[in-house]
Amino acid sequence: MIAVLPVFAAWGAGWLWVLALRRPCGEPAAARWAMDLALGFALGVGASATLFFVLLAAGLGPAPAAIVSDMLALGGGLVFWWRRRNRLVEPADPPPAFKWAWLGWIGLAVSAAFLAGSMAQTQSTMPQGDWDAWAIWNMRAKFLASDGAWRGAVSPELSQRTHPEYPLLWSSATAKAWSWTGETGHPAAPAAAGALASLALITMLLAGIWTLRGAASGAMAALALITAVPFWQYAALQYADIPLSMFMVGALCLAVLAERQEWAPGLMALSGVLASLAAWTKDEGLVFCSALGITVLVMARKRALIWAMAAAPVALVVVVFKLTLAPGSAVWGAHRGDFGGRLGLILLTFWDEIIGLGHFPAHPLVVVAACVILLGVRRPLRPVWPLIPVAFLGASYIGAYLATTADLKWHLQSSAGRLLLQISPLVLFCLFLLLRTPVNGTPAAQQARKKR
Amino acid sequence: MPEPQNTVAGARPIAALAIASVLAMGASIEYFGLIEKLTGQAGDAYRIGAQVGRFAQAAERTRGETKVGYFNDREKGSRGDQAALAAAQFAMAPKLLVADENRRDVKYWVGDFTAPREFARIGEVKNLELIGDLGGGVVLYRQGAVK
Repeated sequence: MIAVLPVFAAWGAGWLWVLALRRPCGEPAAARWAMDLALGFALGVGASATLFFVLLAAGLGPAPAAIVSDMLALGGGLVFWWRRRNRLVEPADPPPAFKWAWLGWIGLAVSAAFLAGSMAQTQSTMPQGDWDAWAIWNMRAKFLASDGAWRGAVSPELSQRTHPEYPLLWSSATAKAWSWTGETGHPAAPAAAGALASLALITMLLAGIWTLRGAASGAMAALALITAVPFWQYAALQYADIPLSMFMVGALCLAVLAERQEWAPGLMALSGVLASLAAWTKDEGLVFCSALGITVLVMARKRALIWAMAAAPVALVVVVFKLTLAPGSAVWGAHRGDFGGRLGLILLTFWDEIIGLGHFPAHPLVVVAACVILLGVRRPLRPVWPLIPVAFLGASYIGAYLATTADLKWHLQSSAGRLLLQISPLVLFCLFLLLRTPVNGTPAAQQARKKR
Repeated sequence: MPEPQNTVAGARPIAALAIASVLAMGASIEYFGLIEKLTGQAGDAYRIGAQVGRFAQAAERTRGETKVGYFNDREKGSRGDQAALAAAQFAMAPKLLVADENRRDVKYWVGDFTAPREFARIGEVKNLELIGDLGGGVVLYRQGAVK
């Protein structure tokens, strides 16, 4: 239990910061609680891990760096929340109620019970997680958690298969927990953080759409993600793709919420921080962060400054890391000829992965198709802009595979499924934003409302 | 409140929600069984839990060293070779494992073997002196005493 306490301390700190920065917008209390807790986990774990790494790089030992980073995050959050607690205003724009939403809650409750059981089973069999967990993230965390050894986590002498050039947020989060307790290598902290990230991801999708389009739509979006078998496979394997997706969904959801509240500064700041934390988690996050930043700049103009200022500190850490610490990688290069063949193989593999997302009829595509057909799309089809960073991220996957110097088949086999898992929650979020909102009443009453 | 044209009422949203709910519950039951079967069959495929114990003595006996040499008896560059190196690196971290056998700046070397072999002789070929067979296929050598 003590081994996972630092994870909960970071969560608590993040929650306080979210409470201080996110003004309620008339959503049901349960949606607000769910969203705040999920965002709080992402922000707390991500920000305190980043602070821990900065303190390590500045020369502090792992144990003091862990304690100082969590205390700063917790203390700062407490002071900030206390100062802003009376400023909370409730602009009323509640999503419509739908009395049949309980159908979704039953589905979610049953699925959550099975998911929790499955995660517990996986963790008991594979407490160290799967390849990426122990060969990359937790192995590098051991360097970060050892006095004077943190540079080993980025040593060019590490095997290329352990990717010393990858960003260090998730390793830092694990190392911070180990440094607190002195139990370096103990599987409980990374396992707990990984499992909570999975739950935070699904909660963000649920509560984000719930806040924007009502409980039924939120439940349907979360249920669609639950029918994706890779989510079940990776939920407990401690891969960084799940926290990456969590940061990206959080950042996008907050940007959409901010737009609805005239680009509210608190939401913009939170969105910027989460996007930068995505960039500090994996390189795909860097692509997403840049794309979301540009999109927000185009949409919000001057008000995007807050987003950029909030993203800047962690983005600076990423830039300094990439320029001065990360060893070069020979993963990319130009390929002469056979462009069509490579592109065909990439698209075919992604198609196979999409088909393999579920076991028909329990498949995200079936859930999505049913929702699109039965709910219908909004007229006019808005907002479309959240799709831009998501599309850019998708295009970057294809570009990366086209440029890889590794054996393309092996590269695709070993990573395409995980990339699909990263992007699926973002796609579901954008899609359910574009669907009509379920409301109570009959179609006849609805027609009458339309005429009025 | 959304504009009326952007809302949907009646049986359609109920059906959508019911379909999503039933499919997700069905998927949950099926995937629970599937994951249970997969983890039961493959389990900890790299036996990573056991690797930490396997290399514990080597880590202990090279205390104070930041870099330790490493070689194994798998085919060079094969998946098995890379997986064994990654597993050993996880177990030995925060020591850096140096897998380049031409390096002469590393004092201790860890041999990682899949079966009992003539460990001393293998060391001689690589100009390494056998310090001890630590069990489980892990053998500790010292650089350069034999030539």
